[in-house]
Amino acid sequence: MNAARIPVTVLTGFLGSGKTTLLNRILSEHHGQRIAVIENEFGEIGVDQDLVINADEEVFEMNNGCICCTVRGDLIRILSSLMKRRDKFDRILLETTGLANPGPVAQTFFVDDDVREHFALDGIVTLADARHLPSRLEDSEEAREQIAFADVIVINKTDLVNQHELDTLERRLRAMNSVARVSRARHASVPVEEVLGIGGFDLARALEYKPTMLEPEYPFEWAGLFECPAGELSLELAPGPDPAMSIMLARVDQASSARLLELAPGVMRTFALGPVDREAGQDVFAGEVVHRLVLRRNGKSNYPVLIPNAGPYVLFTQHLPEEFGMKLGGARLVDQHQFVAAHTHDESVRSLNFTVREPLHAAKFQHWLDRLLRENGTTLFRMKGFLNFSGSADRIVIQGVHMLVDTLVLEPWGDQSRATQLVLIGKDLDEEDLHSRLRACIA
Amino acid sequence: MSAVLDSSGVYQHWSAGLDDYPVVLSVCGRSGRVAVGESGGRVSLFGRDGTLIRRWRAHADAVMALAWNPSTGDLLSGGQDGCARLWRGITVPDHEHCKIAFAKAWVDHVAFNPQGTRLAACAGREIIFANADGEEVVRACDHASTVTGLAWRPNGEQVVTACYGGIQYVRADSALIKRRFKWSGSLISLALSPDGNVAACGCQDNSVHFWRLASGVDAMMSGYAAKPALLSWRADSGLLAVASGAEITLWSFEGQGPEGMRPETLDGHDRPITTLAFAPRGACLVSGCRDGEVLCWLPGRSARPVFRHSGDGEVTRIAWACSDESSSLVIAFSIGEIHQLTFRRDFK
Repeated sequence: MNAARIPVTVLTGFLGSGKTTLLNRILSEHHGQRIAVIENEFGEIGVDQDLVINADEEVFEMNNGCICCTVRGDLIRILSSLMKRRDKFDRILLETTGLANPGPVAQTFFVDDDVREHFALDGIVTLADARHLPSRLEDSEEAREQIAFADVIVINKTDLVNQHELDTLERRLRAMNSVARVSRARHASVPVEEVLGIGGFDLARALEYKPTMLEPEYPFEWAGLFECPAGELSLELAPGPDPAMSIMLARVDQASSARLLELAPGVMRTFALGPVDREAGQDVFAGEVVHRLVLRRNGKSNYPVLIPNAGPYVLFTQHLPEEFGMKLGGARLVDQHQFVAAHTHDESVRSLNFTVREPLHAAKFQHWLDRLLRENGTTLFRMKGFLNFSGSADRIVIQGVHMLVDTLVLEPWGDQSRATQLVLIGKDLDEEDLHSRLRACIA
Repeated sequence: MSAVLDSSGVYQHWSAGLDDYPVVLSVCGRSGRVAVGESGGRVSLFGRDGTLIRRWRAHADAVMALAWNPSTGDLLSGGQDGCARLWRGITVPDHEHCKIAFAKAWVDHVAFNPQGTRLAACAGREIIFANADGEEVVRACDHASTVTGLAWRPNGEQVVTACYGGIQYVRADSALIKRRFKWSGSLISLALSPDGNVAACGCQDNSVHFWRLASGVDAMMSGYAAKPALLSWRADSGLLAVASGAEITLWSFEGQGPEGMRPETLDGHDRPITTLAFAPRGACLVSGCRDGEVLCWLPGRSARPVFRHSGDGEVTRIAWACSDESSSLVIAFSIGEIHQLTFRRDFK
């Protein structure tokens, strides 16, 4: 493989999401790079640019027995020709039409040998219109796939919606694609380094790429670190999207955010044991018990919280506090953390995050993977993760687009805690079945 | 520019340097002049002896295609600026006679018919036919996708084009698609046998598909390790050479073949082959490689190359010019070098 491959960044997003604005912004900023732009037929480059190429999006099926293997024929031709002028530019930006499915673009970089040798897909950047995307996600498969394929999602036009709408949208996008970096912008104004040089498909950069990818899917979305006085406090909630919310309160020895995060795995196990129902007025206490607060239909619900000793406590909540207007009266919020949410929305496209601590049997995993690709290849958009095989000292990184999968031996695990971690972004994936069969691969 | 006689009887006749990447190369059958289309948009014109006659900016962006009118000596060029241009002059094509503008896209293919009475040019899905003076006769956008191959049928009245989904005959007087030969695959190149009977296409999915045009019967050769984009026919239409990766396969169209037959292979390159061309007369095949090596073969007579030549950089294009006594080969290298070699035909 050629070390000096030219990076290609793909910009996707619906019409009006700000793709062209972002493109022009990147081109006009002084970044010392010579950029060739491959623009869709409706694009409007507003700055003088030496190399702008108009492309008709020609999506071709490959006759290789893989029904989902589609590529961009025009891109193969254009890139093959640009190879001849590779001394004239450093990077390529590719803007797709609003209705484009990013799958064929990504697959082009896997399938065609010439393209693969000379160009590297740096990442897929999806522009999301803060106001209009929520309804597009309901009615458009392309909009969902653009989110599913993204390495970076820029929520644009944030000035057109309120904070709550923004938070809701961001949570929803994270549930659909838990590996993408999400940033917010007005007028597509994001720092260039957030959208260029992201290495989204670079296996060797998998570790630096996305720390939250390593965070398991927690059954709680939020934790707050409170400094509590001794005595009876009051936890107040208003009616929210669900009739009940589960919480757990834990005592900690010091008020640090590190302690808050350390607690999370243990609290996850406690959540798995199931909750105890509490009606409004019934008391809540610290300890290894999950309380399911059953809310009044109308008006606020108050739960007395018994604090035997003053000090720092962490409150874990199933949903975000603002969704229920939650307040812990009498306590002072010192720190808080938002966790990668479990699939709280009923999305057909979502991310499944699997973590298996026990080493896997390599051949069994191969069977699991083969079956996944065979049965779900068309609806599995992207896959990323690390593999921990028994009998191997090496950490293996894996990534895929539909049925095309790459792996790379990264480095020995050394003294890092070993685990297989996989994120699958896809449509209508059977989480329980995939998870139980993955666990059956344990050596 | 002195002639150097090689031990195999080949002269390196001349060499010349350009400061740009030579994208495309064409030798005039009448005058032996060599036109080189460059990535910066210029065309360089060399005389038979290697003298640089003229170098000019023919297109605002890279030159993609060149063709000589076989009867008048006019030169036709196609570029990434979305135009085809006809170059004409009393002794050399020294001025732009006319310009044919497309709606958009790169002009990838230009060709004169064998009679030199018509020309065709393609950009994206659009095809334009014009007379020998470049006056547009008709244009159409009826192809299903970008045209990836263009060849005139021997009668000079129709072209064969390739695109995703198959090949078709297109009439030069109406641009109407007269007949389609469907194949749901991505065809990336087209080579029409010199007798006009067989059209062969390289496919993105590592196969070669061909049609016997009279009957419409088609067949495919699959199992290539890399995209077989380069195809060339021997002058007698009896043999098709296909380059895939570093290997050349030869399919015989004589007798019953090639259906059900095993191809011969020519193994001599170490890196992917970048250009492949049979001589327009005789049986000599030449292949150029990414490592700058050029091999000449006489398929059927020897499985080993009969002659080697090399230069710096990648071989980008090769073109032949043949007379009764000798053959000459023009080779373009990616660093901008142009070499011309002359030898007795077929090393007889």
